Amino acid sequence: MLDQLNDEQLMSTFKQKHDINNQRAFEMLYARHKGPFYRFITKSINNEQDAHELYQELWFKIINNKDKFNEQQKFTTWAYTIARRLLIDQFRKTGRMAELSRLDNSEPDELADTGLPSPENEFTAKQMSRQLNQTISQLPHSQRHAFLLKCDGELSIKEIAEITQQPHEKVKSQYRYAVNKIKLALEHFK
Amino acid sequence: MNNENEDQRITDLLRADNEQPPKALDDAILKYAKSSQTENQNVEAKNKKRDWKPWLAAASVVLVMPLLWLMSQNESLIQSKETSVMPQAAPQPSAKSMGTPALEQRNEQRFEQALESAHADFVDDEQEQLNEEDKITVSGSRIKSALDEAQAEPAAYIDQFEQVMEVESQRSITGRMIDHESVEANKALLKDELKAKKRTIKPSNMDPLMALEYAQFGRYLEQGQFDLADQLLTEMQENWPDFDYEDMIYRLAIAEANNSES
Repeated sequence: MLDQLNDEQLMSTFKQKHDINNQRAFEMLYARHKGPFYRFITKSINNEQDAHELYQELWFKIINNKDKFNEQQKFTTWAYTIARRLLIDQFRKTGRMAELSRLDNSEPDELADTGLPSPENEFTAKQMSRQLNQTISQLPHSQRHAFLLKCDGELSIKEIAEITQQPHEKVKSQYRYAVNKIKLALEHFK
Repeated sequence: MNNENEDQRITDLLRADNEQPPKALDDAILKYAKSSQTENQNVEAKNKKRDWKPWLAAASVVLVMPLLWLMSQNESLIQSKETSVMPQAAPQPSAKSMGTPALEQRNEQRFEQALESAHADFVDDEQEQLNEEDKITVSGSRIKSALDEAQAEPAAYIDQFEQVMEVESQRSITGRMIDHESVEANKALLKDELKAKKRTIKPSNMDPLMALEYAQFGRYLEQGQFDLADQLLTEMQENWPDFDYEDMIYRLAIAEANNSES
């Protein structure tokens, strides 16, 4: 029954104080999004302990602010906005704000639009995955966020623009830069 | 198209990693969500309890008012009891049931006892009684000495005994002096408050029968039938005691005065 509800409906059920299903609704919502949220944070921070703290804080904020959630809004947009704010706060604390705002200056032409190799076996797949994570961790934050939100968070460029409060075109180009860099990094697996 | 496929493959590769939070984190978050729900329910329950508080306050005021009134009544009762009990502290058997010499002897004994007690207190604690408002206490030795003195010259202490009784009659059961003025003032205040709660006689307040009686009262006044008006007023006061009849009493008095003048 509950698994047929979308994220917004689950949040709405979770908000209901007298609904006996509110706890189960939250559990369902948590199960759906724990992976993407966790990966978004861990891949943004590159520090496991801080990432765990931030991840926990993100869910605590979702729980505490559930009454402020508007069902007309998309849950993931709302949650990723909170996550991004937490990350910004974290970068401020650790003095990495410049890193966050730094834009990638590399020209798109430099990044050849190369075809992506397909993993031939499990070993290669693991190697590729490791390379992918390493490349993501080296991306500038703006590109990293655009890439993670698009690929793992399943958000549209428009939604990412809303979350990051940037123009649509800028987000689109950040995403393209990120994808091209990753393709380049995975080139030698071809 | 080729680009889209490659993007999808990167996405698949990213998701294949499927990194998940540790179980301890999951548990902590789910537990927090559960406790926040319980907390919300507790807060709501508290708020519900708080909703009753104004009603409880109102109810306690309603209870306290009659209690205050009863206490003031009780105070005057205690006072009257003290006055009535003190001079004749012990009940006296009837003359018919006892022989005259025995009766006289017993009365004498009782009088002496009362005298002894009063004398002992008066002699030993006169200043303390008047100033410190202490209770009268009687010790065996003091009774003895007082008895001796009283036997020696009983008449001298009768006046003192009466004085002590008079002072004692002014004390309440707590041993404090009764402030009659404040008691009367409190009574007057309570009466006013009780009266203030009475309903005003208005067409909107009255039931149909009372409205008829009220109209009849007016007619009696117009016709100069003051006795009947007075009688009707008394009946109305008995039948509808929660109304304030001061206005009607006033109207009757004015009508009577006008009538006597003319």
